[in-house]
Amino acid sequence: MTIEKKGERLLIQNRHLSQLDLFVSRVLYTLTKYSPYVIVSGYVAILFGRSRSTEDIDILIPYCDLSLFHTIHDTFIEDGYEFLNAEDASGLYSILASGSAIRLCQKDSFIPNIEIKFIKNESDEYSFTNRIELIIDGKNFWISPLEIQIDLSSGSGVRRILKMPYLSEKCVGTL
Amino acid sequence: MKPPDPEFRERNRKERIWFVKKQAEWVRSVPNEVWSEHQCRMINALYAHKDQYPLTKKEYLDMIEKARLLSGRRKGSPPIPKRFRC
Repeated sequence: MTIEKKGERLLIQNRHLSQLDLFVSRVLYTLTKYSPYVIVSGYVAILFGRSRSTEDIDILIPYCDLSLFHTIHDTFIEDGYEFLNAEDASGLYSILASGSAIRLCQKDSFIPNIEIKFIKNESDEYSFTNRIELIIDGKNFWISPLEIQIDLSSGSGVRRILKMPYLSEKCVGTL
Repeated sequence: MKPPDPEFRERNRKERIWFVKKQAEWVRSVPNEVWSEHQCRMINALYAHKDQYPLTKKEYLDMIEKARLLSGRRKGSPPIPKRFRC
């Protein structure tokens, strides 16, 4: 594996993109028009070569007002997506504002789906503030810093570490 | 739902760790086009059969909710602090 670091950006060249990557990329392309985001959890490991798939991709976005969320909602619906939570835009916004997640997927195909949450605590904020721009085949993915993926305070810490052994030592040294 | 016995879980965990280490070693040792091609083949095969997922949308959401309850995670709380609402 080769990872390049150009300024603040990480580049992975000559990496094939899977259907999952392309799905995520399409959603992010639309989302980026309205809101910044950060990808957290398992999909970050997949981007760096973990041999697994995922049914949901976790994304954090900053708190926004209802009217902006309405615009985001309507754009996704027009583009052929749907929200799994059986609510209208206002209902979905209430779910987000209560700190829970909403799930976005391609119409009539709920696997895979994008789990979207508002930033709601210090660790979310850290992930967002220190997010890293990863470029793969010209497509941008803003990912959380790798150290925040490792939860050493809980029993799952070791499992988290094991999701991340794909970075070259050279690259880890510069992060 | 009955959780698997601790011995089985431990054995399973060790086996996973062994596999992840082995695979990570291989990913580091080959060019990007090689590991990503393997990864793509696997993910695309799963993706091609995504419509054959054995659960309905409702069952899927119920399963997530049940798993959350069993894990003891709270739903949507504590509320988003004011400083994140800007």
